[in-house]
Amino acid sequence: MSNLKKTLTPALVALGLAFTLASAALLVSGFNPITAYRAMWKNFATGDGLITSINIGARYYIAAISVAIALKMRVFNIGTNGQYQIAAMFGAVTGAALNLPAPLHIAITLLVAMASGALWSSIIAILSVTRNVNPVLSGIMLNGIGASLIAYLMQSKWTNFRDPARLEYGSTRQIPVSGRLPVLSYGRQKLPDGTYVGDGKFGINGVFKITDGKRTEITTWSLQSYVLLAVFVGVVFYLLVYRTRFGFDLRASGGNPSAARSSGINPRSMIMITMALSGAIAGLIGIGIVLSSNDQLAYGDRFPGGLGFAGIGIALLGRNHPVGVAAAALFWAALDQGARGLTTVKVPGEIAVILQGSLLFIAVIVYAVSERKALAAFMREAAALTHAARAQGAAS
Amino acid sequence: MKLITSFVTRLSGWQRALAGAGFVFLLLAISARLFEAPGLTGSSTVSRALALSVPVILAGLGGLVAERAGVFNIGLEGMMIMGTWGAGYLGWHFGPWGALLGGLLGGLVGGALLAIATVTFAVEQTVAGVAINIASLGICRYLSSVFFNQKGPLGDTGTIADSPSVRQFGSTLSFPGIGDRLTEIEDKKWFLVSDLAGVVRGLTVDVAWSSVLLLLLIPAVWYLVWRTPFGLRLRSSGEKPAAAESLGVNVMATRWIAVVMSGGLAGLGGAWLVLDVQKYQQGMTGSRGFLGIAAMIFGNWMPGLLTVGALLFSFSQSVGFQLGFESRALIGAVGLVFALSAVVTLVKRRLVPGIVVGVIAGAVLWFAFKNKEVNDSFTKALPYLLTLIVLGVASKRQRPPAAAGMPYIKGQAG
Repeated sequence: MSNLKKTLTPALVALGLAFTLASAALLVSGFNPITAYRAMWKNFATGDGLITSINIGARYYIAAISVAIALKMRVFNIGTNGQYQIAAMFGAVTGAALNLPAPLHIAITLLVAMASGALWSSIIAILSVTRNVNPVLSGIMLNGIGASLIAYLMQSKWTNFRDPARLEYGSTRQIPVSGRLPVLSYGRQKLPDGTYVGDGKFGINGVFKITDGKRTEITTWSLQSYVLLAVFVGVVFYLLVYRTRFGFDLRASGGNPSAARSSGINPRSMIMITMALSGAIAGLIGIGIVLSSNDQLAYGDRFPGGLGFAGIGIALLGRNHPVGVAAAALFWAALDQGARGLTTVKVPGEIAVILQGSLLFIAVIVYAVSERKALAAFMREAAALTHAARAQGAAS
Repeated sequence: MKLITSFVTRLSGWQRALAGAGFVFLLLAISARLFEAPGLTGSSTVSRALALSVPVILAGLGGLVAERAGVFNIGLEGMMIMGTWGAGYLGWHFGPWGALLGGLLGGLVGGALLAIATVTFAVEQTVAGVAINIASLGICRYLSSVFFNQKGPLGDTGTIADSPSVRQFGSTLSFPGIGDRLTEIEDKKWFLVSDLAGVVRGLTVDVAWSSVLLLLLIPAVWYLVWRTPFGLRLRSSGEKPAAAESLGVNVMATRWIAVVMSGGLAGLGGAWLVLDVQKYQQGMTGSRGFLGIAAMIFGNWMPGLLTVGALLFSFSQSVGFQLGFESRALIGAVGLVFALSAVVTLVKRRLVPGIVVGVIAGAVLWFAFKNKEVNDSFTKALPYLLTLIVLGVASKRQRPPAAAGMPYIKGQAG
């Protein structure tokens, strides 16, 4: 219990400080924070706000786990942002080109996406291991190169990368039915004109119907099965990092590199394996957008761009722990979702990004301070024990 | 071979930077001839390269000041973003000087945030820097939505992503009386001579005042870090903070000042960008903060070579704007570098690496000869690609400040 309290307290302190800061920002710019937060809460808690938050949170979660596994050995995979986009594009192209029975079709698409993410991240690892290049810098450079590579392929003569039916904006071809991830469940509601909504054709946002000049919202309850994939990734991450020899080596390399090396762990191969894993997980970030029946079903200009950076923030916020990261990812997504409701009270929705940014910044400080305090307490305890043991030795 | 290495090692930092620049010039002149792209050493390419190098140099200098004091500043990008916002805000109110001041202030705020986290609270430096990069995006987006969404003094309206227009300095600087003469020589197309004329003209004619003012910070930073008592304290805090503290240096205060200055420098780089485009645009920094860090590593934490590195990156960006065969000529130049290093490796009797590099050189040169027009996407990727290659070549031999990246807790000296 006290352990849980020890981990929760810093997070709550950071949360309180961040909300205070955001409230101050709102007050200074002439908005009422209470109204703003109420509108955010309303947009999150009503309609399909919660479902959307979970769907978006799942992306954030996988992004953060991809970052977290590298952070376990203190390597920053800032290249996640390029890896997941490259992987999503190749995954989308593969998925659209195949025609196989459903489970196999999806499995191959996922594998291709993971492999392309891993290949792209391995460049960072190779440069770091053989040429001592800082992974953060090579990651940034590879993000830039990756964006160009995607632009090049999508304008190239290979029609696999370009859907002729959707030339007005760049997009790969649509994933056929057998390659789509199923939608978990959907509310079906009969409309007055006899049709149904909620059969998965509708977007994740609510559907509106106007009757007698009144707008009524019809909730479509459509959780993506991608959410289950995120849970699976979290469980595998937990087992791998906390329950295997490899995970022990990983944490040892991050905690005390020189001790790890003298115990026989090869830091170079650790970096290679970890970065490949991180890239492979990054390959799954965009797969929900590409393969889910209630999402885009292709890779294109409308694909969201900054999930990798959000993943870094969320991983740091959740302290690289599978459960902490899950809470952070859901909270991050809930803030996104809440911000969409701010237009009704005429408050800039950007207050959500302020909240996310300041929360992250305050959290890393609060975590560092609490870790130092814990370490100091541990040292005092150890010193007291040694002292007592010595006193006993002298007495006997 | 040994002669050359011993010659190079005897040179001082500045001489090495000059020698490097001379080598690059020779290479580009040869490549311009070989690939029929006179614009490669033309004045327009060089003048744009010089201009584009300014924000990268300033970010690099910022990184240098912080890291020489022992703090690895990966948050330069975020500080530059804050600088662009400050420059946009004060710029549309008070003109170009306001923009410079705004950039400085924005950067100082960013620097102070990093100093609070890394120096006062000893947060792991990369973590804090990355957090600042993410947080600064949010802060600036919120501020833009509140302040820029209105009519500016020049009559145009800003949006959430753009500020209203900012005035640039009215005139530009040209060395008197040499511009026309140089144009004449440049047009003659004499090998090396015309190339040199193009480069000199690019560096001396029509240089923006914002560039001139900010480039003066290169010698200023050098003087501060290597020729003043404060600079000595700064470097000792970055090499051996415990020893410095035992000699009475206030390591915490020194690092604080260095990190705040570092942010200010990056912020001024942001101000340059705002003055160049004449407004604030969301995302206008385009990884230049990170390119600055790369230039700093390339320059072995010295201002002279750092400048050469920044010029190299901005040159490849500037080449991308040219319409002729310049892009392929630059790729050809990279191929020539590979070929040269292959020869050197083979002379040293290291067969396998020599052959590998030789094959890469062959492929790159073949690509340059084969394609007259280089795809636009490839041109855009070139600065990043070049940076990656340069980092790969340079990172191994460099010597960063000994205590850079390590949090220091007061009283560590005992």
